[in-house]
Amino acid sequence: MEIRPIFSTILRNPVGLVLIGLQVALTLAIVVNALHIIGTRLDNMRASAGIDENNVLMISSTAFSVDDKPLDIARTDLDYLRSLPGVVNAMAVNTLPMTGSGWSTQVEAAEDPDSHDIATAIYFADETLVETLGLDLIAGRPFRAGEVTPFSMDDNLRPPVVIASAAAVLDLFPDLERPEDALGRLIWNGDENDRAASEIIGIVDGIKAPWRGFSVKIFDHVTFVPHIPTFDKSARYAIRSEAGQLDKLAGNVREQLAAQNLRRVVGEPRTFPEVRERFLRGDKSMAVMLIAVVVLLLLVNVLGIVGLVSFWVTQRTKQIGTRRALGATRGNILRYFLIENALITSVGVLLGAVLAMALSNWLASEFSVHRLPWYYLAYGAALLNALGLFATCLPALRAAGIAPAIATRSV
Amino acid sequence: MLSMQDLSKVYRTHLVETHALREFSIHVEEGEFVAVTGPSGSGKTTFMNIAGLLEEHSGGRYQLDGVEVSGLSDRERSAMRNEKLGFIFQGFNLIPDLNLFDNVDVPLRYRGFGAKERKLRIERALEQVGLGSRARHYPAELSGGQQQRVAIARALAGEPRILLADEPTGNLDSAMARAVMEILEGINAAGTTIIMVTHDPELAARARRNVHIIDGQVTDLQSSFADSALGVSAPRESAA
Repeated sequence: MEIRPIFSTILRNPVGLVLIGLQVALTLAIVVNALHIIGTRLDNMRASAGIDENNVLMISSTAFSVDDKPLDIARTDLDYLRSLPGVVNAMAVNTLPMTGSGWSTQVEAAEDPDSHDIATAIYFADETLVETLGLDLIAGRPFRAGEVTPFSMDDNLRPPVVIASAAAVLDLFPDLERPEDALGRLIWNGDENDRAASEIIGIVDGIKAPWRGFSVKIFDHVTFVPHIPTFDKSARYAIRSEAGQLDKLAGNVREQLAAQNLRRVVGEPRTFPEVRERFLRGDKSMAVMLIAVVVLLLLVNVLGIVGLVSFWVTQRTKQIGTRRALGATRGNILRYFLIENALITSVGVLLGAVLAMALSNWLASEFSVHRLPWYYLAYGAALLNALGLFATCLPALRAAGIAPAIATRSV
Repeated sequence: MLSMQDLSKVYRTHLVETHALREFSIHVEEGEFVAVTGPSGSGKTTFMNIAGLLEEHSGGRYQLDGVEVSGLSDRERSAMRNEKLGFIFQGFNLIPDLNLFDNVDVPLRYRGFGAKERKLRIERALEQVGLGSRARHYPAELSGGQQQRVAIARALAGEPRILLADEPTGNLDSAMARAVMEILEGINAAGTTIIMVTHDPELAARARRNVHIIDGQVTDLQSSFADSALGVSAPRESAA
C-alpha cells in the first residue's frame, strides 16, 4: 500500500485536503444531526397515541340557554350517545392525545414540595375510560362511578385517586423496576401551604399527551383524573365506535346529538385519524424538508469531489502517464485516487464527527433535543466515505485510462 | 534483446491516416549503446514509445527480451515495462510532491518489493548518481542536471535490461549534459543496454552505434550525416 507517499503528497498540497475535508466535515455534521431529527419525526409519525385510534372520535357541544346546567347536559348527552347503535362507549373529556392543547400540572413524588417532580398532562375521565378510549391498563383498576365528580373552572385539582401513564411513574419514581410497582403510591401537588395527595390506582401503557415535549418527541407523561369537566356550558365528548363504524358514526352523530337539545351548537366531529394527521403534519413537513436538505448536501458533496478530483486528474495527466510508463497498471492508478480520496475524506469525517457532536450539544442545550446517538456518526461516516469513493470513481477511471505514452509528450 | 521486424505504426483519424513507422526493422543486442537520431517528425518518439511498450504497434513483429509483445494484455505490458525497462525522459518526469527517495521508490512499489529491499535499492541508486545525501529533498530544490540524475536513479533502481532515454540531455546545458552522458556511459559499461533518442550529434557520436530514422524508416547513416553537414564525426556503425 502506498498510503505514506500519498499522504505526504496531500500534505504538500493541502488545498485539496482543506477544501474536501471541510466540505465533508460540514456535510457530516449537518447530515447526521438532520438525520437524527428526521428519525425523531419518523418515530413520532409511527408512534401510537395509546388509544384505539381507528375507532375514536371527539365532538363538542356549546349550550347557550341560561336554563341548562352543564352537568345535566353532559349526563343526558352521554346517556344518549351510549345508547346509539355502533357506539361502544362515550365519556366527557377535556382533550385527547395529539390534539395540541390541554392541561398540564406539576406533581411531586413526596409531600415535600421540593422533592422530585415531573410535569404531566391531565386527562379528565370517568369510569368508562378504559372502554371508551381502548386504553392498555397494565395494572390496577379503572375509576369507579362513585369516584367520578364534576369539575368546574373554579375547582382545585385534588383528585383522591388517579390513573397514570407508565412513562410518568417511571420518571417520577426512579426507584421503580416496573411501572406496575407504582400502584398504591401517592403523587403530590399544590403549593407548600396546600399540599394534596392522590393515590395511583391504575397504570396505563403507551398513552400520549396532547403535545410534544421540548425534545420534539411526543410527551408521554399522562395522568387521568376522575372528573367530568363542566366548563361553562361547553362539553367535549370522546366516543368509541364499534370496529369499522367510525365514519358512519361521524357522518350522523352531529345531527343526532343536536336533535336532542336545540339550545346549543354542536361542533363538527373530529375522528382521531384526522386529529392525528393534523398533529403530525408538521413532523411530515419537517422530515420532508430535512430529507431534501440532506439529499442536496450529499449531492453538493459528491459534485464537489467529482469536480476537484477531475481537476487533479487533468493537472496530473503527465504524472499519471509517467506512473503508467514506470509500470503502474490501470488498477494501480485507480487505487491511487481512491486511497487519496479515502484519506482526505477520513480527515474530514474525523473533523466532522467533532463538529457534529458540538452541533448536537448546542441543539440539546438550546432546544432540549436528545443528544446524537453514536451510531448516527458511524452510519454518517460510512455514508460519506462510500459517497466519496463513488464520486472519485468516475474521474479516477478516466485517470486509469490515460495512456502511458503521455509520459513522452512534451506538453 | 530487442528485435523489431517490418514494424509499422499508423495513426488514424476519421480524416487522415499517418504512417509514423513503415517496414521498420532494428535489432539491438544485449549491452549495446544505441543512439537514435533523426529530424523532428521522423518517428523517433514513436519508435521509443513502441520499444518502451508505451504504445502498441499496428503491424510487424516486436520481440523484447525474447518475448513477442504483440497481444500482451495491458497488465502484462505494465509488468514488462516495470521489470525489463528503465525510462529517462527529456523533461525528467519526476513527481514534484514526492521527495527523491519516494520518486525513486515509485516503480519499485509497483514491482511489489518489500520495504527493506526498496530502501536498499533506492539508496544504492541515488548513491550511484551522486545524490545519496539528498534523498529527502524535493525535485524543485535541485538543478535540471540533478533532477535528470534522479530520473536515472529511478530507472536504475529496478535493474532494467534496457534503459530507454528520450532526449535525456535536451533540457540541460552542455556541462550538465556531459555529466549525464558520462553516467549513462558508466551504466552501459556495467552491462545495461541503452537506447537513446537524441538530436545532439555530439552525444550520438559517443554511442557505440547510431540509428538514423527518416520518414518512419531506418536509413543509411553515413549519407544522412553527410547531408546534414553538421561537421561532426560520423557514426561508427550503420543501422541494422
